[in-house]
Amino acid sequence: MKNKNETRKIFFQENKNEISIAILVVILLIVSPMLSEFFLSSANILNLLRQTAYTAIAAIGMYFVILIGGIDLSIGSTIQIVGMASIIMLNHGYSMGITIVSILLLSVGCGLINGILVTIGKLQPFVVTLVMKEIMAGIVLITTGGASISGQSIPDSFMVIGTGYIGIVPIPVIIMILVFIIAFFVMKKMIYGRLLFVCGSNRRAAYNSGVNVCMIQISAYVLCSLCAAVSGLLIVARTGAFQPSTTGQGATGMEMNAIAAVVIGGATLAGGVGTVTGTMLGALLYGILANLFPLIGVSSYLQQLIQGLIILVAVIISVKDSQSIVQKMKVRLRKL
Amino acid sequence: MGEQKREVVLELKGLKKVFGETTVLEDIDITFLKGEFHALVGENGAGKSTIIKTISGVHKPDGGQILLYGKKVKFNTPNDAQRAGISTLFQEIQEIPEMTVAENIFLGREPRRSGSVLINKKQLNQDAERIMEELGLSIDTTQRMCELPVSGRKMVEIARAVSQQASVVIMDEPTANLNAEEINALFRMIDALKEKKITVIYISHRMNEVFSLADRVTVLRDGKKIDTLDSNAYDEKSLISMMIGRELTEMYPKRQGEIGEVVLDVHNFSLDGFFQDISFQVHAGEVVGLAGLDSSGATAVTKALFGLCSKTRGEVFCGGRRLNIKNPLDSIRQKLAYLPEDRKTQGLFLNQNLIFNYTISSLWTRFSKMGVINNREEKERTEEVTKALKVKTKGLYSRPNELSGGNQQKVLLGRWMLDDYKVLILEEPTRGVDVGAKSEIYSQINQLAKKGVAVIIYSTEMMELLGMSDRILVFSTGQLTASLSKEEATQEKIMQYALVR
Repeated sequence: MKNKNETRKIFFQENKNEISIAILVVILLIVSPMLSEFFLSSANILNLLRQTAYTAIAAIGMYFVILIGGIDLSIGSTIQIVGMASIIMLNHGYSMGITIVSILLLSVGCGLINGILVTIGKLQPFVVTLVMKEIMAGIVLITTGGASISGQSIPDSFMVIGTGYIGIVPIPVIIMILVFIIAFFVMKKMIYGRLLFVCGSNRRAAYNSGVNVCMIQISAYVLCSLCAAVSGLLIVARTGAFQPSTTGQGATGMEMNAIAAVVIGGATLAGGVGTVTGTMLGALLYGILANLFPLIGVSSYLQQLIQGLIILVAVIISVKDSQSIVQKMKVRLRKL
Repeated sequence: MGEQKREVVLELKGLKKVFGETTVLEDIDITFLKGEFHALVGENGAGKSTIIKTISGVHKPDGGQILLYGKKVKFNTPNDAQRAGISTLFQEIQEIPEMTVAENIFLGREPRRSGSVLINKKQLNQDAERIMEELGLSIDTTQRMCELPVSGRKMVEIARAVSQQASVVIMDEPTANLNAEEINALFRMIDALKEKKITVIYISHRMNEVFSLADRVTVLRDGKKIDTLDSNAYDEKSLISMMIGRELTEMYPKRQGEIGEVVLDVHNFSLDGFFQDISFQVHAGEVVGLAGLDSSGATAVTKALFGLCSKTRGEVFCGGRRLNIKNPLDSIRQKLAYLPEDRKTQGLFLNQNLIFNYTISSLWTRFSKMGVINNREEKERTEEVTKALKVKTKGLYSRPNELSGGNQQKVLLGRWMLDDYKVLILEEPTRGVDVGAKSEIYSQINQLAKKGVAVIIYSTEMMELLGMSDRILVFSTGQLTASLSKEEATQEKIMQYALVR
């Protein structure tokens, strides 16, 4: 009995971050219907879940990269390039299977370039992935000439991924749950997850303990790209057409949403801290807010401002470095 | 000395400090006399560092008073304390690496050109040189800080403290990274300080320093003052027993167990610029100490053996098989284990729980199947090791940054007790570790040796090498100059071979 209490105590201590976000989500779910009667309509809830799925899948990828102390600003462009390539391939009559496999390989390639430049080239992840974002966006614009590509004879089986349902649940949501379960298992039970944690915590110590730090780092960037590609496929399979540089498809600016979800979920940008569950809840919280704002009449300009502030607050909360002025102010506040 | 009435410079009265729920200092009364060398000793966590941080304005006391020349003072920052004449050398070096030595010495109080805000560089360098001369140091003051070795930087810090016209200079483990020569230079500086009637408050884990220098010693234990003693009122044994509150029968426990066959066989091992043609053998159950001054190559050998330096020449055999090691991963696969000299930056994951820290190197071999971790077994085994090592912790889910230095080191050693390693390479196994934890670590090393592990220890602490090793290899300028058996080895002999050119 005492043992059980002890276990429970440890569980709460270890997960207090996730629990507090979960409570926030619940509060939001209770308050939102009071603010807008449309919120609980089934169309809106499905839309909310679908939008959250795109962000959450990308965010789980981003989580791996942030966990090892890196960052990937290129996933918005990855999503774009994935969307474009899949529509072009399907228009040329390639089968759905071949298209999806080659798209995923393409994204692995993007991740490899990011990872290798950061790890072996020893360049700043911030700069590398920002440059990659520009390059990929450039490729998309050159290929399309800036015009949208409409899908001709896109197979229905492809469209099902984006638009279909199993029961009442949209397929993107099911894929999100699958990705979450896999990531959760990997981080909790697999050696690979453990290695991500220690590399993010102290690279040198990880190397000295026999961890192949370079491989782990590169693989995190690959996983991030891969998750972005999955998210991109779901987005493009929704409309069956590709439009470059639109925010409508949620591609541009996706990196910001994903980073926001990860940071709101309790991860620190310094690396080594954060969980998949936190990231998932962060994406959900962020998704609910993004859904709620237009419903209660917050203008999209103001929305952007508020979302920026939310990320800032999350970053401030996650600061642990005692040298930081932010942390010193927090300590002083706590004393009051 | 205590007979004539000497002037009291600094006095602590009923000092109290609380962090969260734990009281780290309780009712501390100490007087510091003018021009004395006053050592604070105690185990890690006894409160030494907290006392000096409170005196120097880093922490604010939660009770009691600090009196400077009989007047009550309150410092909000280290700068306040400095202005009042209390200079502190913290354990961590505080200089700015991109600036020159002279600029660092006069940081914040640079001489100005008359009537302007511009810095008078010429004056600055002259003043700095004068200080260096006074202290008998040969450091080029126009050099940038980052070009100096760690020891040089420490000397500059001391020079800075001296130049601030301090009446009290506080030093927290100033000799931690210094070699013998530099330590001597430091001691000369301390003598110079004493001549100037400056009070030195000194913290060190190195007992011999305390013995040879201190006028008075204050012993602390668990945040309380045990006693202040004149230099003729104690010996090593009584002091240590006061520190740990029990008689320390044997600091270096005897090893029982046979020395077996050769495990590690090193042939003509070379690394350009570090060491040349080193050959030696280590047997199962044997503890071999590596001694040498800075840049003698001794520590480079330990790092090269573990695969931390690339491009070595020569051959290394382990258990008869030729090793081909390019990185630590190869070494660990070949059952070589390595405890790095700086646990915080090179060994531990400070913000991960203890389980992560313990099992990281044995996950593949001991705690997993097909890459899936067996969490229950992991927890059980680490619990056993924690108990065996007597690690003081709230539980396996605490983080190393919540532990004291000694307990951190135990956790790091525990990492290599979870699998069967053939060779254990230790660098500075007890640096910054308190006396109690030290003897615990020694006895664990002995137990590993007893199990047939070949142990290599590199240490700058001579007593440790003499106490622990069956054999001591002495290095000098990249050469192996002597192999002394336990019976032959003395401090003088080691020094003699370490200085051979």
